[in-house]
Amino acid sequence: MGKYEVFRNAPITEAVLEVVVLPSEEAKVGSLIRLHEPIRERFPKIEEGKEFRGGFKVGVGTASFVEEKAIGYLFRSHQENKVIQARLNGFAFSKLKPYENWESFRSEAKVHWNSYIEMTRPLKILRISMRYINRIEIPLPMRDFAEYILTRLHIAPGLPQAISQFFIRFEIPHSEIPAMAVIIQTIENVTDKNRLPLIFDIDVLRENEYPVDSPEVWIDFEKLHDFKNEIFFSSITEKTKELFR
Amino acid sequence: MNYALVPSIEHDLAACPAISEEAKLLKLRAEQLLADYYKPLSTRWANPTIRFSDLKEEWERETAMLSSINEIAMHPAYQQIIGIGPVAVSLILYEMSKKPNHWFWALKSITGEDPVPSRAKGNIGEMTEAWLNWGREQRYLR
Repeated sequence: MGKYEVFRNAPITEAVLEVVVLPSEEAKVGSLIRLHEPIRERFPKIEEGKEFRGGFKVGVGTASFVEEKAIGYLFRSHQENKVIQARLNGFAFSKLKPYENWESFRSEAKVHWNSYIEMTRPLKILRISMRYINRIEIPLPMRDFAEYILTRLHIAPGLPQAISQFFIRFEIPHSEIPAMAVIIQTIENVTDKNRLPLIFDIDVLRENEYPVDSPEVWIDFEKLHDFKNEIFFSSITEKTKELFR
Repeated sequence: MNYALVPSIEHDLAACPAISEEAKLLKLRAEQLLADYYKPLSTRWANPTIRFSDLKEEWERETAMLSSINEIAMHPAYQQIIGIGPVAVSLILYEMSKKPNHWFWALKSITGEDPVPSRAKGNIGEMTEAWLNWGREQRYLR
Protein backbone atom coordinates (compact mmCIF):
# COMPACT_ATOMS: atom_id res chain seq x y z
CA MET A 1 0.00 0.00 0.00
CA GLY A 2 1.32 3.45 -0.92
CA LYS A 3 1.66 6.41 1.40
CA TYR A 4 -1.95 7.38 0.81
CA GLU A 5 -5.08 5.28 0.80
CA VAL A 6 -6.82 4.74 -2.56
CA PHE A 7 -10.57 5.06 -2.06
CA ARG A 8 -13.24 2.95 -3.71
CA ASN A 9 -15.52 6.00 -3.94
CA ALA A 10 -12.96 8.75 -4.47
CA PRO A 11 -14.61 12.19 -4.30
CA ILE A 12 -12.69 13.48 -7.36
CA THR A 13 -15.14 14.86 -9.91
CA GLU A 14 -12.43 16.17 -12.21
CA ALA A 15 -8.67 15.91 -12.52
CA VAL A 16 -6.86 18.22 -14.92
CA LEU A 17 -3.24 18.27 -15.97
CA GLU A 18 -2.10 21.41 -17.79
CA VAL A 19 1.09 22.58 -19.49
CA VAL A 20 1.39 26.24 -20.54
CA VAL A 21 3.84 26.86 -23.37
CA LEU A 22 5.41 29.61 -25.42
CA PRO A 23 4.10 28.83 -28.92
CA SER A 24 6.28 28.95 -31.99
CA GLU A 25 5.69 31.97 -34.22
CA GLU A 26 4.49 29.75 -37.06
CA ALA A 27 1.81 28.05 -34.94
CA LYS A 28 -1.76 28.90 -35.97
CA VAL A 29 -5.00 28.16 -34.10
CA GLY A 30 -6.51 26.51 -37.18
CA SER A 31 -3.69 24.00 -37.44
CA LEU A 32 -4.50 22.57 -33.98
CA ILE A 33 -7.37 20.70 -35.58
CA ARG A 34 -4.79 18.29 -37.03
CA LEU A 35 -4.36 16.89 -33.52
CA HIS A 36 -7.80 15.40 -33.84
CA GLU A 37 -7.01 13.06 -36.73
CA PRO A 38 -5.17 10.32 -34.79
CA ILE A 39 -7.65 10.37 -31.86
CA ARG A 40 -10.94 10.89 -33.69
CA GLU A 41 -12.19 7.37 -32.85
CA ARG A 42 -11.75 7.83 -29.11
CA PHE A 43 -12.49 11.59 -29.01
CA PRO A 44 -15.21 12.08 -31.61
CA LYS A 45 -16.60 15.41 -30.37
CA ILE A 46 -14.92 18.71 -31.25
CA GLU A 47 -15.61 22.16 -29.83
CA GLU A 48 -13.92 25.45 -30.46
CA GLY A 49 -12.14 26.79 -27.35
CA LYS A 50 -12.67 30.48 -26.64
CA GLU A 51 -10.76 32.98 -24.57
CA PHE A 52 -12.41 36.02 -23.08
CA ARG A 53 -10.26 39.09 -22.94
CA GLY A 54 -10.25 42.86 -23.01
CA GLY A 55 -11.00 43.34 -19.31
CA PHE A 56 -14.26 43.07 -17.52
CA LYS A 57 -17.21 45.28 -17.04
CA VAL A 58 -19.02 45.02 -13.77
CA GLY A 59 -22.72 45.75 -13.95
CA VAL A 60 -25.34 45.28 -11.27
CA GLY A 61 -24.47 41.93 -9.78
CA THR A 62 -22.73 40.58 -12.86
CA ALA A 63 -19.27 40.46 -14.32
CA SER A 64 -19.12 40.22 -18.08
CA PHE A 65 -16.26 40.06 -20.53
CA VAL A 66 -16.07 42.20 -23.61
CA GLU A 67 -14.47 40.10 -26.31
CA GLU A 68 -14.05 36.47 -27.19
CA LYS A 69 -11.41 34.95 -29.37
CA ALA A 70 -10.88 31.41 -30.69
CA ILE A 71 -7.80 29.98 -29.04
CA GLY A 72 -7.97 26.27 -29.78
CA TYR A 73 -10.08 23.14 -29.63
CA LEU A 74 -11.62 20.75 -27.13
CA PHE A 75 -11.77 17.09 -28.07
CA ARG A 76 -14.27 15.07 -26.03
CA SER A 77 -14.36 11.30 -25.64
CA HIS A 78 -17.47 9.19 -26.41
CA GLN A 79 -18.81 9.33 -22.87
CA GLU A 80 -17.50 12.86 -22.47
CA ASN A 81 -15.52 11.88 -19.38
CA LYS A 82 -12.15 12.68 -20.97
CA VAL A 83 -11.36 15.99 -22.64
CA ILE A 84 -8.23 17.24 -24.37
CA GLN A 85 -7.85 21.02 -24.62
CA ALA A 86 -5.36 22.06 -27.29
CA ARG A 87 -4.53 25.75 -27.38
CA LEU A 88 -1.68 27.64 -28.97
CA ASN A 89 -0.39 28.55 -25.54
CA GLY A 90 -0.95 25.22 -23.89
CA PHE A 91 -2.40 21.83 -23.46
CA ALA A 92 -4.72 20.33 -20.85
CA PHE A 93 -6.14 16.89 -20.26
CA SER A 94 -9.21 16.42 -18.05
CA LYS A 95 -10.62 13.23 -16.62
CA LEU A 96 -14.09 13.48 -15.19
CA LYS A 97 -15.63 11.08 -12.70
CA PRO A 98 -14.90 8.20 -12.24
CA TYR A 99 -11.22 8.82 -11.56
CA GLU A 100 -9.18 5.63 -11.53
CA ASN A 101 -5.67 6.45 -10.39
CA TRP A 102 -2.81 8.84 -10.89
CA GLU A 103 -0.68 6.41 -12.90
CA SER A 104 -3.27 5.85 -15.64
CA PHE A 105 -4.26 9.52 -15.68
CA ARG A 106 -0.65 10.67 -15.99
CA SER A 107 0.15 8.05 -18.67
CA GLU A 108 -2.75 9.06 -20.86
CA ALA A 109 -2.01 12.77 -20.41
CA LYS A 110 1.58 12.10 -21.43
CA VAL A 111 0.57 10.35 -24.65
CA HIS A 112 -1.63 13.29 -25.70
CA TRP A 113 1.01 15.81 -24.62
CA ASN A 114 3.58 14.09 -26.83
CA SER A 115 1.24 14.34 -29.83
CA TYR A 116 0.64 17.98 -29.01
CA ILE A 117 4.33 18.91 -28.96
CA GLU A 118 5.07 16.86 -32.03
CA MET A 119 2.47 18.79 -34.04
CA THR A 120 2.75 22.28 -32.59
CA ARG A 121 6.49 22.46 -31.78
CA PRO A 122 6.21 25.00 -28.94
CA LEU A 123 9.41 26.84 -28.04
CA LYS A 124 9.40 26.06 -24.33
CA ILE A 125 7.26 25.22 -21.32
CA LEU A 126 6.37 28.10 -19.01
CA ARG A 127 4.16 26.51 -16.39
CA ILE A 128 2.87 23.14 -15.28
CA SER A 129 -0.17 22.59 -13.11
CA MET A 130 -2.69 20.04 -11.99
CA ARG A 131 -6.07 20.53 -10.49
CA TYR A 132 -8.28 18.13 -8.56
CA ILE A 133 -11.87 19.11 -7.87
CA ASN A 134 -13.42 17.05 -5.09
CA ARG A 135 -17.06 16.89 -4.11
CA ILE A 136 -17.49 15.71 -0.54
CA GLU A 137 -21.10 15.02 0.39
CA ILE A 138 -21.32 15.57 4.12
CA PRO A 139 -24.23 13.80 5.86
CA LEU A 140 -26.50 16.14 7.84
CA PRO A 141 -26.96 17.02 10.60
CA MET A 142 -23.39 18.08 11.25
CA ARG A 143 -22.19 19.96 14.32
CA ASP A 144 -19.01 21.46 12.90
CA PHE A 145 -17.16 21.40 9.55
CA ALA A 146 -14.07 20.34 11.51
CA GLU A 147 -15.62 16.89 11.78
CA TYR A 148 -14.93 16.49 8.07
CA ILE A 149 -12.53 19.17 6.88
CA LEU A 150 -9.52 20.66 8.63
CA THR A 151 -8.41 23.27 6.06
CA ARG A 152 -11.43 25.45 6.46
CA LEU A 153 -13.28 28.60 7.37
CA HIS A 154 -13.38 29.42 11.06
CA ILE A 155 -16.11 31.61 12.57
CA ALA A 156 -15.41 33.36 15.88
CA PRO A 157 -16.87 31.36 18.80
CA GLY A 158 -19.22 34.12 20.00
CA LEU A 159 -21.00 34.30 16.63
CA PRO A 160 -23.85 32.16 15.28
CA GLN A 161 -22.15 29.17 13.63
CA ALA A 162 -24.75 28.53 10.91
CA ILE A 163 -23.47 29.39 7.41
CA SER A 164 -25.76 29.63 4.41
CA GLN A 165 -22.97 30.04 1.86
CA PHE A 166 -19.22 30.57 1.63
CA PHE A 167 -16.50 30.78 -0.98
CA ILE A 168 -12.96 30.75 0.32
CA ARG A 169 -9.63 30.69 -1.42
CA PHE A 170 -6.19 30.06 0.03
CA GLU A 171 -2.80 30.26 -1.68
CA ILE A 172 -0.24 28.03 -0.04
CA PRO A 173 3.34 28.16 -1.32
CA HIS A 174 5.65 25.17 -1.16
CA SER A 175 9.19 26.49 -0.96
CA GLU A 176 11.02 23.26 -1.73
CA ILE A 177 9.47 22.34 -5.09
CA PRO A 178 8.90 25.41 -5.44
CA ALA A 179 5.20 25.55 -6.20
CA MET A 180 1.94 27.19 -5.27
CA ALA A 181 -1.33 25.58 -4.27
CA VAL A 182 -4.55 27.47 -4.84
CA ILE A 183 -7.29 25.94 -2.72
CA ILE A 184 -10.92 26.90 -3.11
CA GLN A 185 -13.86 25.70 -1.08
CA THR A 186 -17.55 26.35 -1.45
CA ILE A 187 -20.80 24.55 -0.73
CA GLU A 188 -23.73 23.61 -2.91
CA ASN A 189 -27.38 23.27 -1.93
CA VAL A 190 -28.31 20.36 0.33
CA THR A 191 -29.18 17.27 -1.73
CA ASP A 192 -32.45 15.34 -1.50
CA LYS A 193 -30.53 12.73 0.50
CA ASN A 194 -29.88 15.42 3.12
CA ARG A 195 -26.19 15.77 2.35
CA LEU A 196 -24.23 18.99 2.07
CA PRO A 197 -21.88 18.96 -0.95
CA LEU A 198 -18.58 20.63 -0.12
CA ILE A 199 -16.52 21.46 -3.20
CA PHE A 200 -12.84 21.18 -2.34
CA ASP A 201 -10.73 22.36 -5.27
CA ILE A 202 -6.94 21.96 -5.18
CA ASP A 203 -4.91 23.54 -7.99
CA VAL A 204 -1.12 23.12 -7.71
CA LEU A 205 1.22 24.81 -10.12
CA ARG A 206 4.85 25.46 -10.81
CA GLU A 207 6.11 28.34 -12.92
CA ASN A 208 9.37 27.31 -14.48
CA GLU A 209 10.92 27.22 -17.95
CA TYR A 210 11.62 23.74 -19.31
CA PRO A 211 12.59 22.50 -22.77
CA VAL A 212 9.43 20.94 -24.25
CA ASP A 213 10.80 17.40 -24.21
CA SER A 214 12.41 17.67 -20.78
CA PRO A 215 11.90 14.58 -18.55
CA GLU A 216 12.18 16.97 -15.60
CA VAL A 217 8.62 18.09 -16.33
CA TRP A 218 7.29 14.67 -15.35
CA ILE A 219 9.48 14.53 -12.26
CA ASP A 220 8.00 17.86 -11.22
CA PHE A 221 4.48 16.65 -11.98
CA GLU A 222 5.13 13.85 -9.48
CA LYS A 223 6.15 16.45 -6.91
CA LEU A 224 3.02 18.48 -7.61
CA HIS A 225 0.92 15.36 -7.25
CA ASP A 226 2.53 14.60 -3.87
CA PHE A 227 1.89 18.20 -2.81
CA LYS A 228 -1.76 17.87 -3.87
CA ASN A 229 -2.09 14.63 -1.89
CA GLU A 230 -0.45 16.19 1.14
CA ILE A 231 -3.04 18.98 1.06
CA PHE A 232 -5.96 16.65 0.54
CA PHE A 233 -5.05 14.00 3.09
CA SER A 234 -4.00 16.52 5.73
CA SER A 235 -7.31 18.31 5.26
CA ILE A 236 -9.70 15.41 5.77
CA THR A 237 -10.57 13.42 8.87
CA GLU A 238 -11.17 9.72 9.53
CA LYS A 239 -14.89 10.44 9.34
CA THR A 240 -14.43 11.90 5.84
CA LYS A 241 -12.40 8.89 4.72
CA GLU A 242 -15.27 6.65 5.80
CA LEU A 243 -17.48 8.38 3.24
CA PHE A 244 -15.13 7.32 0.44
CA ARG A 245 -14.52 3.70 1.47
CA MET B 1 0.03 29.90 16.24
CA ASN B 2 2.27 31.85 13.86
CA TYR B 3 0.84 32.89 10.54
CA ALA B 4 3.30 33.81 7.82
CA LEU B 5 2.19 36.13 5.08
CA VAL B 6 4.08 34.91 2.07
CA PRO B 7 4.10 36.95 -1.13
CA SER B 8 2.41 35.33 -4.12
CA ILE B 9 4.68 34.05 -6.84
CA GLU B 10 4.32 35.94 -10.10
CA HIS B 11 1.61 33.99 -11.82
CA ASP B 12 -1.58 35.23 -13.35
CA LEU B 13 -3.64 32.93 -11.14
CA ALA B 14 -5.56 31.65 -14.10
CA ALA B 15 -6.83 28.36 -12.81
CA CYS B 16 -6.12 25.10 -14.55
CA PRO B 17 -8.93 24.97 -17.18
CA ALA B 18 -11.41 22.49 -15.69
CA ILE B 19 -14.74 21.76 -17.36
CA SER B 20 -16.88 19.81 -14.88
CA GLU B 21 -20.16 21.13 -13.40
CA GLU B 22 -18.29 21.78 -10.14
CA ALA B 23 -15.73 23.88 -12.04
CA LYS B 24 -18.58 25.93 -13.58
CA LEU B 25 -20.04 26.52 -10.13
CA LEU B 26 -16.65 27.68 -8.81
CA LYS B 27 -16.31 30.08 -11.75
CA LEU B 28 -19.79 31.48 -11.16
CA ARG B 29 -19.08 31.99 -7.45
CA ALA B 30 -15.79 33.72 -8.29
CA GLU B 31 -17.60 36.07 -10.69
CA GLN B 32 -20.22 36.84 -8.05
CA LEU B 33 -17.44 37.57 -5.59
CA LEU B 34 -15.72 39.85 -8.08
CA ALA B 35 -18.97 41.70 -8.78
CA ASP B 36 -19.56 42.18 -5.04
CA TYR B 37 -15.98 43.32 -4.52
CA TYR B 38 -16.28 45.96 -7.22
CA LYS B 39 -19.66 47.33 -6.14
CA PRO B 40 -18.34 50.16 -3.91
CA LEU B 41 -17.35 53.12 -6.07
CA SER B 42 -14.07 53.52 -4.18
CA THR B 43 -13.02 49.99 -5.14
CA ARG B 44 -14.24 50.33 -8.70
CA TRP B 45 -12.28 53.49 -9.26
CA ALA B 46 -9.13 52.16 -7.67
CA ASN B 47 -9.00 49.77 -10.62
CA PRO B 48 -7.93 51.70 -13.74
CA THR B 49 -9.57 49.22 -16.12
CA ILE B 50 -12.95 49.62 -14.51
CA ARG B 51 -12.52 53.36 -14.04
CA PHE B 52 -11.65 53.69 -17.72
CA SER B 53 -14.62 51.55 -18.71
CA ASP B 54 -17.05 53.64 -16.59
CA LEU B 55 -15.68 56.94 -17.91
CA LYS B 56 -15.60 55.76 -21.51
CA GLU B 57 -19.28 54.75 -21.33
CA GLU B 58 -20.21 58.10 -19.85
CA TRP B 59 -18.19 59.95 -22.50
CA GLU B 60 -19.64 57.96 -25.40
CA ARG B 61 -23.19 58.34 -24.11
CA GLU B 62 -22.96 62.08 -23.52
CA THR B 63 -21.07 63.03 -26.66
CA ALA B 64 -22.90 60.81 -29.13
CA MET B 65 -24.83 63.79 -30.55
CA LEU B 66 -21.90 66.24 -30.58
CA SER B 67 -19.97 67.11 -33.72
CA SER B 68 -17.47 69.61 -32.31
CA ILE B 69 -14.13 67.90 -31.61
CA ASN B 70 -13.41 70.51 -28.96
CA GLU B 71 -16.61 69.75 -27.06
CA ILE B 72 -16.02 66.01 -27.39
CA ALA B 73 -12.48 66.25 -26.03
CA MET B 74 -13.34 68.76 -23.31
CA HIS B 75 -16.04 66.52 -21.84
CA PRO B 76 -15.27 65.96 -18.12
CA ALA B 77 -15.18 62.15 -18.51
CA TYR B 78 -12.65 62.43 -21.35
CA GLN B 79 -10.51 64.74 -19.26
CA GLN B 80 -10.66 62.28 -16.37
CA ILE B 81 -9.50 59.51 -18.71
CA ILE B 82 -6.48 61.66 -19.52
CA GLY B 83 -6.03 62.04 -15.77
CA ILE B 84 -5.68 58.25 -15.37
CA GLY B 85 -2.31 58.68 -17.06
CA PRO B 86 -0.02 56.12 -18.76
CA VAL B 87 -2.05 53.15 -17.52
CA ALA B 88 -4.88 54.32 -19.79
CA VAL B 89 -2.76 54.16 -22.97
CA SER B 90 -3.12 50.43 -23.59
CA LEU B 91 -6.81 50.58 -22.67
CA ILE B 92 -7.40 53.42 -25.16
CA LEU B 93 -5.43 51.65 -27.89
CA TYR B 94 -7.32 48.43 -27.30
CA GLU B 95 -10.58 50.37 -27.49
CA MET B 96 -9.42 52.07 -30.72
CA SER B 97 -8.57 48.72 -32.25
CA LYS B 98 -12.19 47.67 -31.83
CA LYS B 99 -13.87 50.97 -32.65
CA PRO B 100 -12.05 54.08 -33.96
CA ASN B 101 -13.04 57.25 -32.15
CA HIS B 102 -11.59 60.61 -31.12
CA TRP B 103 -8.96 59.26 -28.77
CA PHE B 104 -6.07 61.12 -30.43
CA TRP B 105 -6.13 64.13 -28.14
CA ALA B 106 -6.06 61.92 -25.05
CA LEU B 107 -3.21 59.79 -26.38
CA LYS B 108 -1.19 62.82 -27.36
CA SER B 109 -1.79 64.44 -23.95
CA ILE B 110 -0.77 61.36 -21.99
CA THR B 111 2.21 60.21 -24.07
CA GLY B 112 3.53 63.48 -25.48
CA GLU B 113 3.82 61.66 -28.82
CA ASP B 114 2.13 62.20 -32.15
CA PRO B 115 2.78 59.39 -34.64
CA VAL B 116 0.15 60.67 -37.13
CA PRO B 117 1.79 61.93 -40.36
CA SER B 118 0.51 65.35 -41.45
CA ARG B 119 -1.08 63.92 -44.62
CA ALA B 120 -3.31 61.71 -42.42
CA LYS B 121 -4.62 64.47 -40.16
CA GLY B 122 -8.40 64.58 -40.22
CA ASN B 123 -8.77 61.04 -41.51
CA ILE B 124 -9.96 58.99 -38.50
CA GLY B 125 -9.11 55.65 -40.14
CA GLU B 126 -5.53 56.58 -40.98
CA MET B 127 -4.98 58.38 -37.67
CA THR B 128 -6.22 55.31 -35.81
CA GLU B 129 -3.92 53.06 -37.83
CA ALA B 130 -0.93 55.30 -37.08
CA TRP B 131 -1.62 55.15 -33.34
CA LEU B 132 -2.20 51.41 -33.40
CA ASN B 133 1.11 50.90 -35.20
CA TRP B 134 2.79 53.11 -32.64
CA GLY B 135 1.12 51.08 -29.85
CA ARG B 136 2.47 47.84 -31.30
CA GLU B 137 5.97 49.28 -31.66
CA GLN B 138 5.88 50.51 -28.07
CA ARG B 139 4.44 47.14 -26.95
CA TYR B 140 1.24 48.61 -25.58
CA LEU B 141 -0.62 46.23 -27.87
CA ARG B 142 0.09 42.59 -28.53
